[in-house]
Amino acid sequence: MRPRLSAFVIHLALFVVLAFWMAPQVYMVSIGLRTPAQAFDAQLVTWPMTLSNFATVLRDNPLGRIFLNSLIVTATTVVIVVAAASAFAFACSVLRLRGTLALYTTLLTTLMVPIASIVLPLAVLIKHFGWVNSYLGLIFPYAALGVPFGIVILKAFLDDSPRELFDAARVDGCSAFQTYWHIALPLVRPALTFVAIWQFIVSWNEFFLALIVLTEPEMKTLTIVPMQYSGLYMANPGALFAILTLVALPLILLYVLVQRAFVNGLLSGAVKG
Amino acid sequence: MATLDIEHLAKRFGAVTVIPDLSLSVAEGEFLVLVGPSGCGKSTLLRLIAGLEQPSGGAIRIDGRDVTDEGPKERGIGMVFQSYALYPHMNAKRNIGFGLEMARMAKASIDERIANVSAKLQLNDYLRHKPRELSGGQRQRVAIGRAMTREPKLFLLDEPLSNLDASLRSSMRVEISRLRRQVASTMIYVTHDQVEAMTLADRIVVLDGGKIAQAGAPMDLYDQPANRFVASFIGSPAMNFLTGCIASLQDEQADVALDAGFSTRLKLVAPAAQGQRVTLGIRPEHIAIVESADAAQLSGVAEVVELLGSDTFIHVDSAGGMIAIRAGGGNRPHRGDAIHICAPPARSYLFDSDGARLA
Repeated sequence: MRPRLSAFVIHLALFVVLAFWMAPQVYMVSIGLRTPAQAFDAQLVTWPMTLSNFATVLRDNPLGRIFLNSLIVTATTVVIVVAAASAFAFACSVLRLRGTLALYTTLLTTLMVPIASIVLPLAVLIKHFGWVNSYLGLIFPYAALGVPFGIVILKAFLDDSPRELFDAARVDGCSAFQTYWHIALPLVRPALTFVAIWQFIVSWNEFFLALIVLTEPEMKTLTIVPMQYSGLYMANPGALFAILTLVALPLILLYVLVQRAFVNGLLSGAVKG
Repeated sequence: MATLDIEHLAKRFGAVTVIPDLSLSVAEGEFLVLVGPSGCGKSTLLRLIAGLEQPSGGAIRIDGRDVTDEGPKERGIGMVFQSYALYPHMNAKRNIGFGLEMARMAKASIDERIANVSAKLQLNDYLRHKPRELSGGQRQRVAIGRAMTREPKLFLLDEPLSNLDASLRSSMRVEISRLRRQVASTMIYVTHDQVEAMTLADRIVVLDGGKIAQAGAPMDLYDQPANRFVASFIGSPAMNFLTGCIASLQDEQADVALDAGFSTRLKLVAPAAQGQRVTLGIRPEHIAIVESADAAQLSGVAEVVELLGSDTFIHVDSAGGMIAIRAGGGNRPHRGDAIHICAPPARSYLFDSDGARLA
C-alpha cells in the first residue's frame, strides 16, 4: 500500500508542476480560440470557442509556402550541423588531428556570444555575399552558430567511447572516413539524435536573424508571421496566438515522436554506459 | 604464417620511455607469449607490432619486409583486444565479416569464410545476436573469429582472457590451445597471467620496464630464471626470498649464511665474493616440511593455511619473514601449528643485490 501511496504523491506533485509549466501553452491555444471580445479575459478557458482566428491567419498568409521555407532552412541547417559537428568531433576525439583541440577550444568561446551581439556584422556579411532574401542567409549563420554546441555534445560522447573499437576498425582495414561512417556515427547515434532535435528547435524558433535577412513575403519563415498581428497601433491577439500555435505545433509533434531518443541523448553523455 | 623481427624498437610518450631499446625475433608459426607486470610495456609492444602506435625508433619487419611506417591494414595482422572491441551496433556475423567487407571481398566469399570460422568456434547459433546479447565467452569467440576470417599471417592477442571469470578462462585457454593448431599463423599473446603463459607458449618473453628480462621455453624460465625478477614472476605462489651473505667460497661453491639463522651450500653459476650480500630464492613447491625441529633449517608458525583440495598453501611466519609452502592436499596443519622446513640446495637459487643470478 505504501509504495502505491508514494507513487500517487509523486505523480500528483509532477502533475502540479506540469500544470504550472503548461499554463502558458494552454493560454496560447485558448486565446487562439477566442473571439476578439474575450481576448483579454483572464480565464484560462473561455466559451464559446471559435476557429475564426485560425481561418484569418490561413487566409492572410501563404502558410504552406512559409512552412516550407521554415522546413527547408531548418532541415538543411540540421544536416549541416550534424555532419560538420560529428566530423569535427571525430577528428578531434578519435583521430586527434594536430590543431583540432586548439580549434575546439576557440569554437567553444562562440557558445558564449549572444546572437544579438553579432547580428549587425552578420547582416553586413550576408548583404556582401548577396544572401538577403535567400535561404543561405539563414542556413549558414544558423549552422555556424549551431556547430560548436553539436561538437561539445558529440566530442563528449566520442571521448567516452572505448578507443579499442576504433583500433579494431583500423585493424579491420577501415580508412579514417570508413571508421567515422561505420563505427563512430552508429556509436554516437543517441547524441546525433539529440543534436539534430536541439538544432531543429533552435533553428525553427529563431526570429531575430530571420527578421533581418528575410524581407520579401514569399521568403518569410514561420516565426516572422506573428509580427503582423502585433503592431504599435493595432493588435489582433486571437490571430497572433493562433499563428503562434501553428508555429509551435510541428515542434510539439516532433518532440512527442522523438522524446525518448531526446532524453536518452541528454542522459547518455552524463551516465557512461 | 610469418616471421617477425623487431630491431632496436623504442617507444616514448612525451618524457616517458615505455620501451627503451628492444630487439626480438619470432619464428614462423611460433606461439610467443609476452608477460610482465602492469606497465612493463607488453601491450605497447603489441600495439607497435600491430601498427596502432608509431615507434619512436627502430624497425619492425614482417616476413622480412619493413612495415615500420605502414598502418595495421597493410601488415596482414589479426588482433583480439582485451575488451573484445566488438562493434555494438553490428550482429556477430557482421562483426566477424567486417574486415572482409572493408577489403571489398565478394559477399559469397565473405559468407563462406564466416561459415567456416563460426563452425570452428561453435558460433553458428549466435550469428544474428548483437554483442550485448552474448555471454563473455561467446563475445570472446566472436572477437577471435573476427581476427581469424582475415586469415592473418600474424595473430596478435592482447590479454584476451582477462575479462573472463576463472572457470571460463580455464576453458577458453584450452580453446585457444586447440585453435592454435587450426590457425596457420604466428601468434603473439600478451598476458600478465603466468598460468596462461606457461600453458600456451612455445616461448615466453618476460618484460620488465620495457626490456626483455628473459626469453625462453616456459620450463626453462621456471627452472633456470636469469634473474630475481623472472624468478619472482614465474611460478605461483611466488618464489620465497631470504636475505644473507656469502660466508665462504670453495670450488665454485658458496656457503651462504642466511639472516634467518641457517646456512646452505650452493653451486655458483656466476662469480661471487666472500661477504657479498645475497638473496636465496626457493619456490614454495620445493620447500620440504620435516617432522622435528632438529632436522629443520628453519622453523615457524603456520599463520595462514589455504586448503585447495589438491594442494595446501601454508604461509609460515618465521625468522626469515613469511614463507609460502606448497604442500600436498593431504597435509592439513592448523593455524598456529609449528612448521619445520628445509630448503634443498639443489632447488634453491642465489641472486646478488642487483637481482642477477649467482647460483
